[in-house]
Amino acid sequence: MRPETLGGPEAPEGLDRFTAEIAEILDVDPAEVSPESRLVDDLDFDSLAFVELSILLMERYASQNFLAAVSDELDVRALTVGSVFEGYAS
Amino acid sequence: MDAEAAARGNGLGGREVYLRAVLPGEYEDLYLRETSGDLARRGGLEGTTPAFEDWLKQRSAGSLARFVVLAVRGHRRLGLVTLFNADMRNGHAHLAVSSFDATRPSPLVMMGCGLFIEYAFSCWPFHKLYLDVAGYNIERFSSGQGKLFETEGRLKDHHYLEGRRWDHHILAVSRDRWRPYWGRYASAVVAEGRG
Repeated sequence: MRPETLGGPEAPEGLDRFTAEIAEILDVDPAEVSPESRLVDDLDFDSLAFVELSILLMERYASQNFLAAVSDELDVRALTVGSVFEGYAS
Repeated sequence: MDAEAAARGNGLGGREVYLRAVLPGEYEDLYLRETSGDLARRGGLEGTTPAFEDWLKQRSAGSLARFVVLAVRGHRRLGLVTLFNADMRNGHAHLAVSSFDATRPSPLVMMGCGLFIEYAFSCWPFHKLYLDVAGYNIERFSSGQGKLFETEGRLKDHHYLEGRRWDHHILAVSRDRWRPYWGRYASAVVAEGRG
């Protein structure tokens, strides 16, 4: 059964690790990053951070499409840690 | 062999992006991009509109290398990277990077910039590359602070845009800092069979 709220006690498997990886990219305390955090508006994701996240998704999650989507299609301001996990890392 | 294929064959190709020299017939388009839209206000010209000939002289003076960044998929032009004001005696040069779409993050242009920095450090014995960034553009790079570059200079209230003053940041990418940074990402950025 899918949890209603990401990041809670019933968080999808791997989401905690993914959240920690996002914190590592940004070099911030993991406590500052939650699944609901918006990449651009809350976490100040910039172009370099998107490169690092794209490479993380390619190398660790074998997800090839995030980079092109960020560059061309996605509404990047709407992206959250949880939505990226659901779309590209789970 | 077309220009794109030649560029990829010359070692400037990546998995997602590649670099090629500016084509003779491309300068007018680059001029129009730099003097219109968001790039005109937030780019190096800061809203001024020089005559085409003056712009061309300005862009050519002191330029050591300049490449267009293109996407592998669709060969779409994404941005421009330039190395200029090289000081061979002291071992440094200036780097400029611009994205043709200033309205969204440009990770592909950053990947192209990575290929370009690697190219610069491989071709010439620079120990440091400088990047001048106006405060209104610094958020595009800020996550690289301490990892990719250090801020070595900051001029207070140096720029004026949209009703306020902004600092001018002088960032430095040293060869010593670049090597481990590139080592982490090269395999994902460089085309297979290279790097």
